Amino acid sequence: MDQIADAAAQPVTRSLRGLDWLNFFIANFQTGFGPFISVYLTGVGWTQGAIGVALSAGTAAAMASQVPGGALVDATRSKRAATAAAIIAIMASALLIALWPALLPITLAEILHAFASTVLGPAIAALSLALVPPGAFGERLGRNARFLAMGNAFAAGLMGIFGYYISDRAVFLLTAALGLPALAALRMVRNRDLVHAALAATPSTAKPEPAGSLWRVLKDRRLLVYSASVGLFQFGNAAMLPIAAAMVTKRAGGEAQLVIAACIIAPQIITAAISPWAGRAAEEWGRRPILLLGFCALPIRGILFAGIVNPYLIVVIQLLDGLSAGILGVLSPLIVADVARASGRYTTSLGVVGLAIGGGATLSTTVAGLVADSFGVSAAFLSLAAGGIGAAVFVWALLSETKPALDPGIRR
Amino acid sequence: MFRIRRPGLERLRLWSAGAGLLILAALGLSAALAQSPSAGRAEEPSASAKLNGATLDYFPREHLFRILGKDVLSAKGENMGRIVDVLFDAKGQPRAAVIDFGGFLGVGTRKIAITWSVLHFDLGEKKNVIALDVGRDQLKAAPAYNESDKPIPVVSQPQSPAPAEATSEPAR
Repeated sequence: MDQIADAAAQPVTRSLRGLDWLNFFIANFQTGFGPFISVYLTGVGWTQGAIGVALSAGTAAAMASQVPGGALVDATRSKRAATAAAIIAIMASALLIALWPALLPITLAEILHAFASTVLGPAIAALSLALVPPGAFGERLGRNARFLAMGNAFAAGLMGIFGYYISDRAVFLLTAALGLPALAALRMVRNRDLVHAALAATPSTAKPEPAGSLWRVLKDRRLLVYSASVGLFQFGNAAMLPIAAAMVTKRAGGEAQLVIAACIIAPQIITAAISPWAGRAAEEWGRRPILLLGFCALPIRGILFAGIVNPYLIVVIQLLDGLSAGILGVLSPLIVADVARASGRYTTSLGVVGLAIGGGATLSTTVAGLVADSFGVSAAFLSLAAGGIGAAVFVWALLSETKPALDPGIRR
Repeated sequence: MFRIRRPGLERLRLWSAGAGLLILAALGLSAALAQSPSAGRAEEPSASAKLNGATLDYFPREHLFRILGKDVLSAKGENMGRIVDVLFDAKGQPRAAVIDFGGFLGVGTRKIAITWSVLHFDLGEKKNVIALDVGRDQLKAAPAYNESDKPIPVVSQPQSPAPAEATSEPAR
């Protein structure tokens, strides 16, 4: 007991600073492995069919490993080790893609990256949970999201420059290289500061859990309702930027690529600005109102996209993306932490939500593509907006407030 | 303050150093790979040989174009995207090339089909260039090529007939 009190008394700022920069440097992992892989593989002469195979393998692996990855992090004693392993795996994946662009190595790299990503996010959330007392978790998540957004903006800009002036391959080498400062930042997080581990307690430190507790996570109604809402939100959200960006390419002048860059970077600035506020507000007023605010920004965005003609306005409308993504980025791990108190399986629950996100995003791209082909781009935006309205209604009607002080008993 | 070195940190340091060396090696390797082999342009095509009854011809490497993934330039030298597919007709003639155009970091790219005849394949001093007769403004606003059942919109030169409908097998 004295040891823990002593550890808490010493300044934890170094660990918190490390967590800040860890979020900053891993942001590029998201940016680098997105649609850019298609561009790179095209450039080295792959057929569209082969690209589809490799990317589908990655998507399938990501979906399949969401829940197991989360469960793995829960079962791992050292979340730091799990984070480090995930970062190194992603670095290896980036190197493989850069240096060996044949079908099998790339497919394996995609699968490796998928597994590592499903471990990395939850592990960082678990580290954050263990570093701060419960009431400060919202604000900590807000800070995580702020640094992640800054990292995304930084990565997008730097990768764009590397891709334009050097080569596509250099972008993946940069991705791998940025893993090193991420590892260095992780090192700054000291083990003895990870004391607020009530929820992050692994089964191995407590008495053996009954075998049914994993299934108990999956059957938790609040978790399922939340996962469904986030999945619906992603259905409305995921395809909006790609379709809007294609519109920019079609209608803007020679600087279309810069406009799209602004569409990606400007929302990150908004996210960085509002995230800590969102975390504090969620702690003070409750999760529901803030979540609803974020969810409502989505259909508004979709309807605006459907109606406008001027491609430069797209950048302005994209700012709403920063609002909803920022709020969701903070509130999601917060709400899941609230909900997972019953089972103690925090990162497994994060994995369930991650699965819903992946499913929603895949469906979004497919459906929006079909609607756009048959009925045009505006119709596609309106159907995505409808999905967003559905998500907001779902939250409003079915998701009860999860903040512990307002919800002493479990309302079923 | 007496600090005990933890084995975990040592391992982490080792991993980071290893990763750093790996990346340095990778950069070096990539730089080596990027060197294009300089070949003599004065080579003559070798005489054809016989191969179990079939004929075997040798072409100088600089005379042939790989096109999948290669950049296409406009007459002014602007980047117009990359060739990602070729569409043939029933007679085996190439009718259109599909170009992946625009976008930033892969976001916002559009596929556009263009008539084969507007492509020019030029043997350059240092490398071969695939050039396009169509301007950027004409290309970017074209309807996108996609994998639906509808007729394929193919962009031609302004004075050419209306977009052709290509019944074809995409290159695999």
